Amino acid sequence: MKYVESLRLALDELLASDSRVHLIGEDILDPYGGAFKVTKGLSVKYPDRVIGTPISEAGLTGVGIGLSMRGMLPIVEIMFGDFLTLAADQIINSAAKFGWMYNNQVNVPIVIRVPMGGYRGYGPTHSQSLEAMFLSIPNVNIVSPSIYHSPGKLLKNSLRNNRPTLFVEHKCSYAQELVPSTSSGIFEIELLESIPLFPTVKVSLSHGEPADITLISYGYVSAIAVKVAYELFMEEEIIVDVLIASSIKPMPILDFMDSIKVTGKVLTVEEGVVTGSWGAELSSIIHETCFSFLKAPVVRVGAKDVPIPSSKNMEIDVLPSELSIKNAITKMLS
Amino acid sequence: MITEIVLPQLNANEESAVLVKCYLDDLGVVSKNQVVCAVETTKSILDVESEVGGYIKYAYQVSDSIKTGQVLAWVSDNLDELTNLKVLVSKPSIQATKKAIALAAELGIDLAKVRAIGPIIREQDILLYAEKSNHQSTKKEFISDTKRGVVSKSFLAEIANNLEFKLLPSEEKVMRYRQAGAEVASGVKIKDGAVILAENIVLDQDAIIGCDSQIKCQTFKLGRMSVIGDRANILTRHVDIGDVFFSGPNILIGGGGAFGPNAHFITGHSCLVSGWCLINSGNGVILGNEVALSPHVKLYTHNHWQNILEGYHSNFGSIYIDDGAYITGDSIVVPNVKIGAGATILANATVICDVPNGAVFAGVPAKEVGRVNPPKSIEDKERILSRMLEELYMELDLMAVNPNTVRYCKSVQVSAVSSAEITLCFELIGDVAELRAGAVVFDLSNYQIYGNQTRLTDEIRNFMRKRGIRFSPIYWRYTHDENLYNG
Repeated sequence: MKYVESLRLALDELLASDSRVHLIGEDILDPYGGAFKVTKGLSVKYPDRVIGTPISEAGLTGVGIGLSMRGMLPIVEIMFGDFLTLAADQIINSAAKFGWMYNNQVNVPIVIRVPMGGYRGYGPTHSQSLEAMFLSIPNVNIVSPSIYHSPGKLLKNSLRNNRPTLFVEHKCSYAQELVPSTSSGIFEIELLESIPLFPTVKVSLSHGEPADITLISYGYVSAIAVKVAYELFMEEEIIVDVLIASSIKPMPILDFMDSIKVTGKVLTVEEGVVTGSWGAELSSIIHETCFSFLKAPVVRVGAKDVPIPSSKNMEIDVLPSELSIKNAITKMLS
Repeated sequence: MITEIVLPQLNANEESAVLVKCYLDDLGVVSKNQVVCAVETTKSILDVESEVGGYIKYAYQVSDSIKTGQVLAWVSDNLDELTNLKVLVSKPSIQATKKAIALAAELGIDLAKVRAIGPIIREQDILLYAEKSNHQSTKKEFISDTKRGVVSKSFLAEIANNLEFKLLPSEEKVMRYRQAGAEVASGVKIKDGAVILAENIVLDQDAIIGCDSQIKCQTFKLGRMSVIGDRANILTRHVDIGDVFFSGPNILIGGGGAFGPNAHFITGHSCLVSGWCLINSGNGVILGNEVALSPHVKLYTHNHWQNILEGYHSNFGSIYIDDGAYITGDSIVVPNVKIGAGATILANATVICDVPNGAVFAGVPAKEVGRVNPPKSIEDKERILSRMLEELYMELDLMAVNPNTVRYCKSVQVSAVSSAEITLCFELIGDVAELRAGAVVFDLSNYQIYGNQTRLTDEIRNFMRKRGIRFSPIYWRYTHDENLYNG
């Protein structure tokens, strides 16, 4: 099953099972079915509850928040995650605060789906990964699936979570095949569930041997990380534990500890800019909780501190690549 | 005519399935629309039927993974046609790391024969395979092969169970062994009550067999300056002990299978087997150089009692302990275990798996708890040495030796070494042949001693030995005769 199919199926099942579920977004109606075709076929099936909107991220997010306060379960799509900035006021000053401001008389169980990420040559304003900006907003959860997770299941769990959730998808992942956790390939795949609704997937070639390094990642780049892990194993016999989080906030630090205890070396890999990033926050938490196990400082790999170029050749220089991950690992182990 | 049975597309997302059951015998009879086998997808198990009748030949075995569209089996009404069918069934390609491929090529090993621990063959798997195949193919050479020290049969018959012979003075026993054909070098002592019953005997210079030791072997070779402690029982087929070996009292080498075809106990030089050690040599025990076993260590090369046909387990195999490894008190090592060079086994451990070089293992079953962390630079070594020298000076002081006679110098010219001092250094520059008479240098870069050795240098050497620093020449006994004392 493909990533996009998993999401579409989950939306379909949610709409069928609960009449409170509404999809709101720009261009999500058939025949277009959304910029990335996640909602294709759904507006025909559920014409009352799949709602196309004008181009106003603030407006459509605000409508979603209003619906959720009145007991509905809205799922809002921001066509490109870059324009989450336009909805930021609604999320930060409304969705995240209302529960507290109104003494828990209202809940805001809204899910905001945001396709993020580059590697497609879409240029500086359609390629960013801005989710880290919301790490410092209390009461906003951030969830991101990878092809090693079940994106549909994570989406359903996000809606059950009873609080505003940013659901970070990736443009390049939609067409990818999911890797089932039962697959009997060369990798050992293990689910770590310190946050039961949002498990971390451990992908490793260790097969009982102690790993050399712990690589923590999420989203689309985690697949690149797994590829690097395979190559490093085949070339240098370096064993990399790749831990792929689905809960970006809160951080499932307990899922990472077992591996960190073995390796003592941690590399974080994400697509967003390194400065003030998810990796920066995670690194702090690791240093605070696992310092005695560390053999080296935590290292971060992410995008460079520049806008993302339109030229694909230059874009790959700015975003994390197989090469930059590989270099970081070899440097940490040398 | 041959008809192919092809694995159908079972569902949209699956490209392969696993053969879980073949309902018919190979080359057996199949009728039309009969179920021939079952395949398992990630969702379910499905039966596959034959569309025609005849004889059947399967292309895969149970548990093979088959891709959609590949031939599962052939059916034909002509049996000969099937038996003559030569098909190349594409085997899954072997996956191996770059290092493993290079090493296999270097050692001339066929990757297809190597069994990996994980799904991909690693360097380590190749090494393990190479070691096992070496172990099986190369026959060890013992003194019986070179006809050294052949002892006359009549002599052996005469001394067996002969209490009087056992109690003869050492010189007498040595003489009688020489007369009977044994190779016994000068300085050898066979103490009171000790006896060696072996078809081939070679005892090198200054070797000592302790009081009341009973040795019964096919071949027995003891290296130069080696000591077998009192009341040793050495009862096994082949024994080849290297130079400067030392054993404590009451050791037992032998046990189950002690006279089996592959029973042997071999050591390199400078090994230590402490008192009350049990070495079950039935399937071979090899110690490298400078290996130490603390008291009550037990090495077992076999275990069996319960019926393997009833599902119980038995294990036979050799034990190999590599150079410089140290197995501390009361530990146990089971068959088919290799302990790497410089490894440490902490007390009371039970070692059931191979131990990598330099690893520290502890517990039951033993697990890695650390690694030796060697000092990286001369400066680090100097720091360690400086602490050690303080202790040495204190000891010298107690011995009423002027500590100033021992001097440390990081780097020293041969011509600059004074004959009045003993010099410790990390670098000795120049030709050692030009060392002044009476001058002594302990070179810590290659652990070599140059110059004349005296009682004082022996004391320093012994002091170093207690910290695991062993010098060459290895021929040196740290227990002094009093008359050697000249200071």
